[in-house]
Amino acid sequence: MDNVHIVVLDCHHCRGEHLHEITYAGRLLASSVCSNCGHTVARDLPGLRRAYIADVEHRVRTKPRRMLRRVIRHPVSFALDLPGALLAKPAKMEAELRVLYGRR
Amino acid sequence: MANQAERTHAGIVLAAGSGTRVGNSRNKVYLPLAGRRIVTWSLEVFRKIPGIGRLVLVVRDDDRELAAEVLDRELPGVPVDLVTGGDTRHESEYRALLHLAGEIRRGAIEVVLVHDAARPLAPVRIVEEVLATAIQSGSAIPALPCEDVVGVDEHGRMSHAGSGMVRVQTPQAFRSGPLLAAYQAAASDGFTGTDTASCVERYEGLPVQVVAGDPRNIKVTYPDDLFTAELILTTSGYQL
Repeated sequence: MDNVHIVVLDCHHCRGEHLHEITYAGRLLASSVCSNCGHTVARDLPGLRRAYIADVEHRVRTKPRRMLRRVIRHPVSFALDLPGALLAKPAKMEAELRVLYGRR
Repeated sequence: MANQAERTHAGIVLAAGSGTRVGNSRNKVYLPLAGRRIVTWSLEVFRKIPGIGRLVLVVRDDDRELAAEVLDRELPGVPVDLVTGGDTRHESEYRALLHLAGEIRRGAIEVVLVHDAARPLAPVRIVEEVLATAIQSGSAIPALPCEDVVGVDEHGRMSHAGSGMVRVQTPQAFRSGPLLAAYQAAASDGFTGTDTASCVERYEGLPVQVVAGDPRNIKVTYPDDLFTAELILTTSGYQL
């Protein structure tokens, strides 16, 4: 999953439906910014970091099971996608860390 | 006619009209929420009810590929039919019902539950209650009392206290035969209902029974709703 998603949501601040940029740190919501008025809803960074660490532990613990499930269901696409996924991992982790340290 | 052992209930999840779409923006029901997409949580609640044997997801035509990918990844092995929705909620419901029409006419589907994909937190208790009530009385919708609502007249003056007003939620459940008949009659008349219950009431005269809703059963509309939904899911251990 990408860590930034663009969707239309209602804005409490400027009213009406506008594009919002939703940012995630891993699987966790980090912030939402209204493209019309800039209104931002964000989790506090220390709380987000604590939740992120717990979530990463969970992701690591469940990774073998999730990978196994994919291998069984789609062995060919799993094998084809694996190198790309491994190569993309460092950039993905870096993006998550940038969100956690408020650098994006 | 299907015998009792063959009868099941069907869950329809509406994801075709969930919010406006601009440029490269995505339908909000495909946003990740606690590790899965919003729409997956909305389907998941039906999967937990043993009596619901048919699942239909109504999607926009250009979301079909994404929807199929999400289902394959997040609900592997769960049979979910994808149906392309229409321009309105009413039309999307009708298309989903037409998809099930053969089974409904054979008597293989007893009750149809209709749920908004943007409500990922419907507790199992609500689904069980609307289903049981619809089996007994024909139809059921969950709702919450909204005691802070008042009417306002054309001069901006308060016209009446809002006692008896409720805030309607989903899933809404209906006996399949009258539901299909109501939508077919509405199609011949060119009538477009605002929600499922309004169409059934108008054409079948079925009294719609209200069961207790749940404040956690929020519809993702504002950004804050996403944060609230994530918090509710994590504090409940992902078991609603």
